[in-house]
Amino acid sequence: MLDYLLPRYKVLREDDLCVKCGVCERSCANDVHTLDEEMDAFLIDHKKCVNCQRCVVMCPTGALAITNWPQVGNGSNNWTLAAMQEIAKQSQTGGVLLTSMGNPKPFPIYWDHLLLNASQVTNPSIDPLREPMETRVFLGARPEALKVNEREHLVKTPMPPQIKLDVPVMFSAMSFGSISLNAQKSLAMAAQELGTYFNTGEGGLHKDLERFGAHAVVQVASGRFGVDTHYLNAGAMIEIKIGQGAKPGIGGHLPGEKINAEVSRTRMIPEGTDAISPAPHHDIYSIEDLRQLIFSLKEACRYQKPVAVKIAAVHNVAAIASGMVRAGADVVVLDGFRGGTGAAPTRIRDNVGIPIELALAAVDRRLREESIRSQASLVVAGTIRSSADIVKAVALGADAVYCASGPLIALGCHQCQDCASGKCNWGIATQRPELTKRLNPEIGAQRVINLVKAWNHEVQEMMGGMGINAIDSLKGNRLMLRGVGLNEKELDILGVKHAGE
Amino acid sequence: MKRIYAIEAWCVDCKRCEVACKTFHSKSRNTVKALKAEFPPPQNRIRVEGGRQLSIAVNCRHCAAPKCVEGCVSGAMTKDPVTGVVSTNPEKCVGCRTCVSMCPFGCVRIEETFPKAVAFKCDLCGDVLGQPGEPSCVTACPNNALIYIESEG
Amino acid sequence: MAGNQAITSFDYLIIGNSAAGVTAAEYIRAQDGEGSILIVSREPYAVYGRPLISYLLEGKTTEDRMGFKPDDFYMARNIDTLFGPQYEVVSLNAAGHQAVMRDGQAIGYGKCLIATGSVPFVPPIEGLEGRTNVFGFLTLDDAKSAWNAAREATAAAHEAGRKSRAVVIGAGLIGLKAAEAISYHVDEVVVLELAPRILPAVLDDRGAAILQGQLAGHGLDCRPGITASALQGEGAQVSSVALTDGSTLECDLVIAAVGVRPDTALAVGAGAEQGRGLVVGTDLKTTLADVYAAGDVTQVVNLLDCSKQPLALWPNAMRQGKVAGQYMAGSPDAEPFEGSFAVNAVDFYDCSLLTSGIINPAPEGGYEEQVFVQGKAYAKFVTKNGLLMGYILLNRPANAGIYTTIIEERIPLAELADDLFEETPINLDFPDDLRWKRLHAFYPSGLDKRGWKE
Repeated sequence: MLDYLLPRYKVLREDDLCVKCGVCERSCANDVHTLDEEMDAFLIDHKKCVNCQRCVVMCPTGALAITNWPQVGNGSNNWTLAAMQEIAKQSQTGGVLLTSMGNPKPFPIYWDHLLLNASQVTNPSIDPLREPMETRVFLGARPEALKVNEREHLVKTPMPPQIKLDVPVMFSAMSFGSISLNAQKSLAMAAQELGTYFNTGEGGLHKDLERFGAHAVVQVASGRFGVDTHYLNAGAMIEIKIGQGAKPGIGGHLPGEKINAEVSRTRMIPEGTDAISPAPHHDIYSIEDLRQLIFSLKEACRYQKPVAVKIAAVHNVAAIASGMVRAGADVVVLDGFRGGTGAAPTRIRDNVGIPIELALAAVDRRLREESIRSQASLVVAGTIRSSADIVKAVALGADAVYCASGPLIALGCHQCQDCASGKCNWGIATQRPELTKRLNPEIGAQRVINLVKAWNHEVQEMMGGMGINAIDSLKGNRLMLRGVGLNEKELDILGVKHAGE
Repeated sequence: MKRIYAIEAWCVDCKRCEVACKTFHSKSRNTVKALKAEFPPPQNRIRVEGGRQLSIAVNCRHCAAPKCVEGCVSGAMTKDPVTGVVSTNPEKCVGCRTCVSMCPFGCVRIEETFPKAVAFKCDLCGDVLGQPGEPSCVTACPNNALIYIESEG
Repeated sequence: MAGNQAITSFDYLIIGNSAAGVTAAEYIRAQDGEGSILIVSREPYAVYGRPLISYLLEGKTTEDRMGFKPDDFYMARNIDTLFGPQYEVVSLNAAGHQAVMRDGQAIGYGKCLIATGSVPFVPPIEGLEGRTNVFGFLTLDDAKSAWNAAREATAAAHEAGRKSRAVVIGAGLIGLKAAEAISYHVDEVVVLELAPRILPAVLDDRGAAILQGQLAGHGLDCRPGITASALQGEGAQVSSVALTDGSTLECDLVIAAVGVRPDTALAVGAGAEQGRGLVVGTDLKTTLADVYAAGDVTQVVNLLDCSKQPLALWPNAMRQGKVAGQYMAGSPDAEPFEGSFAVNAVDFYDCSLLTSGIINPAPEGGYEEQVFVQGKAYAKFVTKNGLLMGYILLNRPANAGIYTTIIEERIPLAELADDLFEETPINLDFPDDLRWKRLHAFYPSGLDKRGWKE
């Protein structure tokens, strides 16, 4: 059957700059470039290009660039070229459209409609280079009342289990299997250096990473991969994953070809079998069921570790979050609809869930209204792109953020959305040894450390500008936010005044 | 002395090191000009062996007791007693290939120039030519598969 | 002059100023900063790359670039030198620790190194003696004389409207290099060789035939199996050569290069034991007290088959010079010299030939051979008991040293890649652990194989 699909990208090679060194050819796992000796020229298979940009970055002379395929659409706003290409693909394959990374559609990004305050005249701003600036965050339940022995300066109330973050950023759940061990190790090494946490996803904890256990959040999801008491006690915090922002309501599927010996051992499943995470937890059909699981896990770690519960941000998120806190969750994790994934059905990714900004504001308000906000910390995820997004999230009520795409981009990810193919040229979303070795965790970790340190500096700068010297003082401080270009309803949900008010 | 070590685990067979080496040892030191326009074409001292699955960038080990120096009949191949760098003098070399038959690593090659062939090899370019810092292959490596580090001899 | 007048004395006397001699001096000085060192040589030159004499005639080097060491080599190391024919040592008194030079001057010494190298083997050919246009090809002076004669002969021949011709007797390494060198300066060169093939010592029949064909393409006329029976001509000039096949060759000059032998006369005259060269221990000491020997003059144990033979090769002289120097000066780094094996590299025009070890094994010795011919290239590998014993690489020089190290280190072929001989050898042909070890000498002990400090 003739394939009606057009290439998505066109590789541009500047012949004046190309020295035919072949670095591009050897860098591409998709076989886009082939140096033909008879022609003494490169043959380019544009259709295979996924725009990962590895060749562009590696080319010693900067001879390469990638552009969109120049084919124009018919001018229709309905039948755009992209829409027609999707139909071409489905009529060819008969399958569900599969994609990766976060929702790329032009939905409103509320972060970009929120502006921060700064001190002028009536209160002083703070120079973070001269004054101490606290970005430390503790996650976990707070005691209802704090009894203090004032004479001895001691806290008398026993503290529930908490974890300490030196920076208000953690690395979101990405399993070994969906990403390479080198990628996960890069994040683990960076987390250790930064005083924060990486998350095992539901892929278990590889034995090489057990020594980073004090900086690991160990996840328990519907597939229960790699879960045993040893695993639960190996990390600093346990996280129950109910849902994921990129694909709320559906499970996961790691194809058997990615289950090599190491993944198999870590996930405790046979080599080569598909790793299927069911859509629901089959033992959770109610808040009461969730409570049972939370307390089973607390029991398993003798109440020494906080238990987080992660859900996708969906329509009645506030009520669900309230139930989660009442079920005993120490940390509520909300994942917005722009969050990334290694693989998701395109229609789910692009059409299910709600923006994280609205979910966060709604949940924070609801928990405060119900006076249970202090029983749990609130962590949000789903396209935290910069330090400004972090500051805005905290001002909207988050204790900290989870971030994955940002650190992945630091590792080399170019968001080509082809994770599911397993041919990640950057050695991140692949298990092929010839590709995973492209990511040296020593370099990867350093890049992630650099990124987060830079973000933390910027967080301190913005806090200082607002005259705030501890991130706790910013938490839920919506007075530091103003909306622009938002309607009354949006402002109301966000709990933010419009700029100028 | 500081030596270049190849780390097989991280070598990705891109051969950027080879390109950088050619560029450094060209007349123009500009990759495009060097590889497209210069004659004789600049030669790389470092070479990547293998392919995508397993590869390693090999170049002169600057041995403590270099066989190439022992074998050199012209006095062109010498080991600097201070820096430890083994280098060859194209003026004196006559291209007899004794060094080629002596080097245990295949790291000396012969360039067929006129009127005579001459041996060429890694000169640890960063240090030898008075440019502080890393040799060009190490700088070009995207994955720390080449490290330039103080060795234990 | 009173016979018992105080004579000049040196702690170290080195007789011979080539690879072995200067290397020994270098290592003596490295260990002993104070001791006086004297190098004497009958050649009036600072040390030069002896094998370069043919390249000089080929225009690939010049006399001022032939210096093997920097100009200040002797001065910087405080080494005294006496270079010239009058300084040839003519007798040695080992018991009295004294050497006498041709000019009658006696030199006292503490320790003496015989590094006199090789002398040409003079073939028993009628009419060879007393000729002015017959040349050897071992020293710079030999080469310069032959060069001048060739240029003059060619000029004279062209004046007379004919071509000039040189006859080279001997198609060994020296003979063939001489033939190539002189071919740039005369019109025709004929190379005679008593043995049935050219380069009898470093090639086999098939390789020799291939190379002979390639040399013929460059106009070099090699005639193995034929040699000169008599040199004919009036007076001191040879004008023709009578060949063993009954024919006669007109010629303008002759280069006699049938071979070399260790120059042991001095040491033997002093009572040193001689085998196929001076007999030395693993410390390179001769049988005479405080007299050492290094280089072509010695008898060397062939590490591959334990035979004893002279090994007139530059790298061997370098290695022995180093060891002798270290033992003479009492260096703690000195390691016994157990023996060596041949590694030859030579090129003729655009042909390169690298050979090493045993290449023409005795048929009953349990050796096996593998041969690869492709285009101009001819490669032969000799193995025994799973070890590489020797190779011939004609026009296939790439990475040859990897084969040499496999011979030297006795690396079992079973551990190495299957296509080791078919293809250019590479480091990936070695097993993982050995490859790591080979390529990571002096690797920082704090780092693991990923280059990490973990």
